[in-house]
Amino acid sequence: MRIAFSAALSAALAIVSAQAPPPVEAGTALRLEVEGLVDRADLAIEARVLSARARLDARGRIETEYELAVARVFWGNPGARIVFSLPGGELPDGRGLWLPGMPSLTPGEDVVLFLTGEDSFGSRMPVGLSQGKLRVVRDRRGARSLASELNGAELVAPGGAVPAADGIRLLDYAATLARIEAAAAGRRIREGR
Amino acid sequence: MRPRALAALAAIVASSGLIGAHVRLHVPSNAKPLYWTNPDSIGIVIQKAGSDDVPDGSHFTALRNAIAAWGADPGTRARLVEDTSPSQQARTDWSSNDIHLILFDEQNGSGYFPSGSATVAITPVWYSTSSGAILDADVLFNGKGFQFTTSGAAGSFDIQDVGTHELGHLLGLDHSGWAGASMYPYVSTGVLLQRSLSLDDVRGLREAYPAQAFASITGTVRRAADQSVVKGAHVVARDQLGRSAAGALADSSGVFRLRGLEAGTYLVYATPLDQPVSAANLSPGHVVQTDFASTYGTSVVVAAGQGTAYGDLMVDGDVALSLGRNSDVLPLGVVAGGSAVLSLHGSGLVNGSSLQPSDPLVSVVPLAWMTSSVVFSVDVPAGAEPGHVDLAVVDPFGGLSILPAAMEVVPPSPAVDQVAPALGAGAGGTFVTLTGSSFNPGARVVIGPRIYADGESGGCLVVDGSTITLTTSTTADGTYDVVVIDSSGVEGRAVDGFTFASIPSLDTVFPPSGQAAGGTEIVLRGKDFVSGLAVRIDGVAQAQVFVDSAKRVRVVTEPGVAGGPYVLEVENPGGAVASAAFSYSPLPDPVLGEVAPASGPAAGGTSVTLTGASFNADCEVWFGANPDTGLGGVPATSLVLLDGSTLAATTPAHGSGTVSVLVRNASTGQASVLKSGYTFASSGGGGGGGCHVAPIDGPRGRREAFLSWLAPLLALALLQARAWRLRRRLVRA
Repeated sequence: MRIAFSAALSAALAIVSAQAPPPVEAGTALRLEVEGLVDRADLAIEARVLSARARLDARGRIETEYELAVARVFWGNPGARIVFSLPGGELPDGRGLWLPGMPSLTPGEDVVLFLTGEDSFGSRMPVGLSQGKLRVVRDRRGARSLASELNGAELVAPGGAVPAADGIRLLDYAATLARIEAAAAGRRIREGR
Repeated sequence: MRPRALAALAAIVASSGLIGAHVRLHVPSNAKPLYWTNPDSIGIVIQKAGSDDVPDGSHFTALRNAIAAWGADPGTRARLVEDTSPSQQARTDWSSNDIHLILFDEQNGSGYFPSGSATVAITPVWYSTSSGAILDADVLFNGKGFQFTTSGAAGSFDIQDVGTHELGHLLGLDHSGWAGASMYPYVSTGVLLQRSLSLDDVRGLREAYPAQAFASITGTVRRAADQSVVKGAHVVARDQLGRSAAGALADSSGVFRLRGLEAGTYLVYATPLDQPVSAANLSPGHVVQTDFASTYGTSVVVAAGQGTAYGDLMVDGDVALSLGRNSDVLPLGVVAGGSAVLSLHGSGLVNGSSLQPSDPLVSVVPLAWMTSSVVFSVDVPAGAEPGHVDLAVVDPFGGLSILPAAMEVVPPSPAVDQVAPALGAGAGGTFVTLTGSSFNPGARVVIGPRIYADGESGGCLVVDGSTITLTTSTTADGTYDVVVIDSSGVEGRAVDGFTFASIPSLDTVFPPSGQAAGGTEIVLRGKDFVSGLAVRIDGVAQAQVFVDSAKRVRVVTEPGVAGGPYVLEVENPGGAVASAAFSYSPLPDPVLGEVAPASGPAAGGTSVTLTGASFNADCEVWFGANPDTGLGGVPATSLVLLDGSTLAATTPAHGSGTVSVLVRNASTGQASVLKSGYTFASSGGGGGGGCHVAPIDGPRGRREAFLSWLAPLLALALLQARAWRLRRRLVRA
């Protein structure tokens, strides 16, 4: 009986594991693991947001221009400072543009970003919308973690969930950066760089 | 989740104003909710080109169903009104403020879908920062990077499902913490259940654009340990049947307000918005604290249209337990009357825990606890009402975690077994009966670009669980799937179930009989003949078919078996058939070669000789009959069969002009026509080839009277010689 039950359970598990295509965030964007973010990024960096300024682009759309000080480069060739814009923002004239799912950057915050290539207007998109931004947070002792929407088994520490702060599940900083580095190295090998 | 270890982490979101039932988009800088100033008539245009993955234009029907989903609740004023004018549908300038467009961006013209973006669809919303009034919003699908479908194609995103979600954003709604909501942040290929709105989506729209006063429950979420308020707690009301009924996020003061409720009794509980939906899924500005455990409150009774004060909802301390991850395909669909083996991810899912559905009629049995996931079986009784069921896990230490609206009870998918008839005219008007199973009130039938909604004018009628009737609307010719979409979103499909085609009709077949040896040219008159049509006589395909026009077809018959009448069928491409009768005669067809003289006075009385072949005593001669139908005309006033190839006839009075001359076997219907065989000359004019004779008085002139008895005598000698010569010519020819 136990054997039969185990066989049935195994079959059930196989069915369950096979039935689920990866969900996407709406948005709507594909749900991506760290490796997927790296693979799709034109630029993957850790940086501090220095400034944010909303403006109208040449197409008449609101975008926010960010200037960041780059602390670490995982993929791409940015300088020590990088300037780019993301869609959305609020203008002094009282108009705003919001794209549900789009992350926003706040001056002063430290982030890990995964960005697409720059278009002719100097705009980029975060890979996977809000998934393309991981915020670096520090506890009172200064220990860093990464706050993101990414989760799943790979984000759960042994013995239970990683502590969270105000609804954001936290990733182990060092472990996640190691994964990013490894993913970038793997991509370099695949692309012969 | 377990108690926070990083309590002093920097605040990561700004303060927020009151958040009503559901979650609304708001101005990030001041938390004012976004709203339409004209919710009764929010214009929307479906761009004509649609998706290049769906060349049949069925994106229209899919998106119209999505639009209809948001307009179905009478409790809200919000209505998306489609502008179907071709000029608007042709526009692609989605960023213009004067159009709210649903567009498939196949070349990344928007710039929002560069390579690597992984964005499937997006809804840019323009607003006034001072008031929150929405100025413009459009829905853009990433047609360049992803595949879309309206027919369940594998690996493709369902247009109606994604469209329903994005239209919720367009209306001003943010993501929902309900796994079963259309505004749930995640969707997978193959998912259809977010086509239908959950009660949470409905409450959200009611809260934003109420059409009437609804009941509400207001209270404050506090930590039991220290009475401090919990910001951004997810508060849910469950009805007496154990179904998820409403949701709200507490504001930055811990105040929640469950709105849009009907009168009833509700169990209220709070749960942290941490997984699978979290603050990261919401627009900036929401304060969401999650350092508490899911906690049941008490039941409250609310009266229609009345507000009820709940008081404080005390929540317990955090636990190392949670249920649901965004890697799960949610909601978990469970069919009424069915069972399933399902799984959910989470944390703290250990042996000794229990899994509890909120609906006591639903049975859930855990099969395996694997710490980060649980596998379980679900049984739902037949006839269970559609709706959402919470799922709660209780660990061996009494810790509780609730996943709101985790399961969606759906009726069995409709099955379309038969569509009768399966063919109708493109002009519409065909009464069609669908038979199958699991047809429910509120169903929508989609055939090609047309939607037939249950009970609506021009829609369909769900007669019972196995029968739907409808009358087709004008539709372009073609073969289409017949899709029955249940109000829950599940569907049944008869692939290529109905064909719209030009349906031919046959008015005349002339001649109605031909020689068994074949070779008879017959003319079919009617309408809606289509090039490429097929003609069969007694099932035998006719090889020589000439479609002269939509109203005229000529056929040169194949040999057949003498007898009949047989069924003559005309089948248009697409299968539409018209039928008439045709007979094969053992006799050869008469052949009329010449009429001499070829003209005479309109008053008639001219002796003419008809030469040809296969004449017999049953032949009759008509002047001026319709050469295509054999109808009409005037018979010869006298007729003598001289031999099998010669007829002597006297012309009748007839209007002037050149007319046909018809020889017809009165017994068999076989016929031969000279289309311009004889000319009746107006009075005073001479007939070609004949002598002019002045008309005489009396109903029957002397000449005519004379010929009436002289003809049999004189014509015999005079014409036989001429006929002999003509026959020799025909033989040579």
